[in-house]
Amino acid sequence: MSETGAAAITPSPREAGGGPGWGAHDAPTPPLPTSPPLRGGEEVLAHVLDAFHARVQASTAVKKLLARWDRLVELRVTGGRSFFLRSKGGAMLPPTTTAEGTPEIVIGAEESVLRGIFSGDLNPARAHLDGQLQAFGSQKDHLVLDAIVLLIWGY
Amino acid sequence: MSISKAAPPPAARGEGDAPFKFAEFSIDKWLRVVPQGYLKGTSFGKPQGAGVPAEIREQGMLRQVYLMDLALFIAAERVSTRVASGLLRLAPDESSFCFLASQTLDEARHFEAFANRFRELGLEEERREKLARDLLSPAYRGFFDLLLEAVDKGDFEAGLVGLNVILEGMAFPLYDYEMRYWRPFDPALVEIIHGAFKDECRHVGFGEKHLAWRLGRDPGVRHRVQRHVSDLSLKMRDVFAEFLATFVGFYDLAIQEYPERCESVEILPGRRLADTTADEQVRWLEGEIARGHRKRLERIGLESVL
Repeated sequence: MSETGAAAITPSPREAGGGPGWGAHDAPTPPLPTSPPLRGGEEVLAHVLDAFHARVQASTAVKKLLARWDRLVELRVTGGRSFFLRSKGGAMLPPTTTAEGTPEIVIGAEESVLRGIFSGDLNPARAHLDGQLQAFGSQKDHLVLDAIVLLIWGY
Repeated sequence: MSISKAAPPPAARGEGDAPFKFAEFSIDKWLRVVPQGYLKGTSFGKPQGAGVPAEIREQGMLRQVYLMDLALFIAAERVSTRVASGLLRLAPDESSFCFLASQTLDEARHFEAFANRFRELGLEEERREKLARDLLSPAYRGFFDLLLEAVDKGDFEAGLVGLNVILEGMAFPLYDYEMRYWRPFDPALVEIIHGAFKDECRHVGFGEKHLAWRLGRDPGVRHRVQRHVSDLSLKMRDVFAEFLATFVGFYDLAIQEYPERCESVEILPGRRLADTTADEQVRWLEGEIARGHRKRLERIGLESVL
């Protein structure tokens, strides 16, 4: 993981397990005793974020947005754990369940809402308007995050 | 709307016309000014054969913002058509009857022109409707529901003030802003918006004149309309606040890929886009919306809560 410049971000237990799927594309890393195993819904969300990350990596339009946007995003599942997305140097790093540093953006929501947004089933604007999201951080940063989702799943 | 609540034909009530010039709002004038005037030679409100520019066709933030804009125009114009046609059935005099017939067609034409542009981007109706549903805020939905409810209850003045003065009047600065924003990218869209804007100017003018006349004659009606105006104005202010906070930010992101195209754009009167932050744009627009609204209500004889 340090090779990709993500030294500040620590991986999930599944990554440590070295199996396929979420985070498996990273180099092997030591286990994290503080990170409990993913529950069913969270595991699905982890897969969704993995797929989202792959799409981001393949999108030229998103890369243009990320070029000027180094940020740490925390996705906080209501009553559950957090997932982290970090953009750095024009790329998005693989999602993780722990991260160093203070996130500039925090999105709190039910697991199903986060899954809907990052899988393209739920427009983030709709989720905001319906009060399904708790958002912390600057409005401009939230707009950029919404724009990334729109570019991945828009028309 | 129940049929029993529709107004009897104007002639049957023996009511005279409003004391402003009938010809000013007649269908005869509308035919000369609109279909034979600024729409002459156009197709769906724009020059025939005007294709979709490459920047909008290709995937990118500009395309996403463009589609969101179209989806919201379409949703608003559809409701406007329904309300205008409902008002037509309630028209209390012949000049209103004729004007609202032309307004109904104007609103339906706007709906069709924006929907056609969406179709030209190769997207199906189903996607357009989903996007509109996704973007319609609870406040906007609530405002539309109030308008439709007013018409359903047979309240002509509340429906008219809501559609012609509050919705269309408060949107004036946005039409101007949208035209300035899209000009470097899609002149055809600007022409569609400009045509719709000219129509809305007529609608607002009619609404102001009719209401000033009607309310001046009956303080009871003025009192009732004032209550609706306060409620509707606050709702619409919330709608614009939500819209501006989101959309101006997206507009700002979308043009970052095209700095050279936007260099000379005057986004606000006397202000270059390159030198005006999104926050400054939002503050200016909110100020203009409130200022114009107050002036319009003053001309009608109503008080503004904004």
